[in-house]
Amino acid sequence: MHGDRTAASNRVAASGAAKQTVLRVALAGNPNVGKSTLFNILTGLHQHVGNWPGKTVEKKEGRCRVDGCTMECVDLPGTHSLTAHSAEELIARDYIVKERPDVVVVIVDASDIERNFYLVAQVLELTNRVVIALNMMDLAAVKGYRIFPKQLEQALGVPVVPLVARRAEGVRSLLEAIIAVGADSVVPRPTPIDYLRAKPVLAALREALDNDRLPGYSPEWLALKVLEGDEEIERLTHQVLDASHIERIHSLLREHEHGPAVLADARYAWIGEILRAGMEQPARSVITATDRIDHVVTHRFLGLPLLLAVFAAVFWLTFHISGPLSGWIDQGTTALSGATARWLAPGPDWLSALLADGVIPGVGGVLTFFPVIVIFFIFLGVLEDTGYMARAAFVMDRIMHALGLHGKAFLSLMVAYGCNVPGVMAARILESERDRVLVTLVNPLIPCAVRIGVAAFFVGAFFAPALRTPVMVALYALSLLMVILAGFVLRHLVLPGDRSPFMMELPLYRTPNLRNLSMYAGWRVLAFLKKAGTVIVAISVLIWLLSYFPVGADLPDSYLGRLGGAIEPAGRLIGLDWRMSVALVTGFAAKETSLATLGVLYHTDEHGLVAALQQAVSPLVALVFVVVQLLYIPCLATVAVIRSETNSWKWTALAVLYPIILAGGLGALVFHIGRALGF
Amino acid sequence: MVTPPAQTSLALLAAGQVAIVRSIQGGWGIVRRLAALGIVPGTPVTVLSNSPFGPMIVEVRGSRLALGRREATRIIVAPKAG
Repeated sequence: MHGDRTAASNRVAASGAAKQTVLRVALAGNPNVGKSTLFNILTGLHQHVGNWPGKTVEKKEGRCRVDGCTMECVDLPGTHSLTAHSAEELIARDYIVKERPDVVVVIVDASDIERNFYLVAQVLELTNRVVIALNMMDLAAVKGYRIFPKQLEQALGVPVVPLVARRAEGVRSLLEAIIAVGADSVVPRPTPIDYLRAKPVLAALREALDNDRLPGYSPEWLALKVLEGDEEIERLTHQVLDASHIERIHSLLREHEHGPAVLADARYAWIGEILRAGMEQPARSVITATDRIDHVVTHRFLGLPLLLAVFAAVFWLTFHISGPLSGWIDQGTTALSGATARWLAPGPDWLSALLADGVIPGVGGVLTFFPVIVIFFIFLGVLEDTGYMARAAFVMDRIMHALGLHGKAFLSLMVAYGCNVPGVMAARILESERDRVLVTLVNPLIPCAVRIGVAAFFVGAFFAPALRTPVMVALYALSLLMVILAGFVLRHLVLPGDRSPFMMELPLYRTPNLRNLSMYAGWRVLAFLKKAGTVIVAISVLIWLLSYFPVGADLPDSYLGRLGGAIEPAGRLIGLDWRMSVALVTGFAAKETSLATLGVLYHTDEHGLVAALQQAVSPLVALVFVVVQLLYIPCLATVAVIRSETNSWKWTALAVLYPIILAGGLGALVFHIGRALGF
Repeated sequence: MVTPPAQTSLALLAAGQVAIVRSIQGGWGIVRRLAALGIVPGTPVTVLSNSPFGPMIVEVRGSRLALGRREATRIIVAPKAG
């Protein structure tokens, strides 16, 4: 600790007066303890979201001004510890070690205080410039915990501020505590952790770690990490230390193979000591509503049917509520398109056609999907915020084993049912690289709300009302089957290896919070809108151009028609005419575009399209088209996000190519079986 | 007095049973990860739900934790009598 203090005071001297007004504050904490909620309260709209350099881990920075003091806040990734286990943990601790923030705020879930303090212990091993934000005091009370912040503060030697971030309670006191520590008017003196049995070996390791060659790290901390077998620190020591030192360290480690367990034990003993001073808990744990709900929800027989019922309800409600909304948007854009054509009638032909036939229907087509996606993500947000999603992961764990994955992977796959772009990004919650790639590769086979919308359009046009729901359910089932099949093949042929361990906290159930909900749905919808506003508008215009030029040519002779002619032979194999083949090609840009393209090619708006399609193609061909478009390729925006998340062209190419083969094969199967049966 | 088996795997305990963690079979990686979630040798755990296959739920330090079957198998515990 002494080393830290001098480093801090040196920094004060060096930066002079600036130190008084600008504080660099890092927020650390376990996942799901309300860290982001607090960050949003502190920084409001003054935040910047990006990635940590070279990593696909979100980095949020923001600033706030309090009492003439500016705080630059960094939201560190949520972690349970500060080992080198995952990119998140590495980022969090590297930031504290290398950037040396003025204050580290550790947000603690008071209802899970004992385990959360494990991170507190590890942060205090790095720095004493810490403030503890004791969040979720309300939930702690539900569990019968009586927590005394003042006593806790005394036992810990570090400022402790109680908080209910969801209701923005206690924020003022937290800010005051941060400023006090940042301005050195309060100097935390943490109660040291007694490493007991490990003390002699830690001392020997400190000696063996020639500290002159490892500046910037405290020798105490390095010794701890070496004893824990930290891969990153091991790499570092191998780079800078000479052979004799390395040999000495190795022999010490061989004698103390239980290092990690002994250190963890010492930390929990320290935690126990502090909590005895600062809290009272009931002798027997209180039976909470969570216990009663979990009894049913995670039941070995009831769990799965209940989960299916929950998600069936989510899908049904989503499409039921969004249907009329989409209808209104559709009518609105059609009216706007007509009005634009009339208004521009005196002007040049191409301008009116570009706007009325190209841009407006293109954008309108996207907007009709907007309500579906918003509503789906609101429902998913409710499931997440109440705590049900963690149970869903638990129930699905067994089934996800078929894919060589564990329960958490289900959570990211669920997101893809709304939109594949946030779906791919949701793979970040998985710890292992292999799992992330596998989830990303099967992601394109999950029909997003838009593809389901296109399918529903065809099913509505070609199937009797009584058959529509069964056909849609069958399509969902088919895609699910393909996900399982692809996952099975990919993990055996392309991504062999062991399943990563499944361990996951099951939080207490709680009522959803509006702020969390809007955050959850908000950024996922934003991902969809971004692609709508850019890619889709551009592609709609491009398609229109290709169909309009060369000037005066009939549609089959336009560039688009010639393109269709070129790929027609491939489409014929599965019964598709050139128009449908072109629609699949343009659907690569965005699945919404398929319908708009068919509208252009059959020379109608979307309402006339039903009649035109019924005349031009048989129900069998329509079904082939639906099956193929459901699976055949991830849209351009998804491809882009797969590339940026996997950082690999190889995986991106695979994610594009194998679905084409799969969808083509399946299309051929449906077509030929259907024909043989006489359809 | 019936003495319970001295040591067994956590995965073999039934719902409602209480046990003390004795050791964790596996590399340092899994030891560190379990430690971060509250499970170290000496920790009392209560089994909340367990079925012959699939993951299980345990209560550790006042919170509930879902553990994969294979992970639970690697946790060696001493069950408490009663």
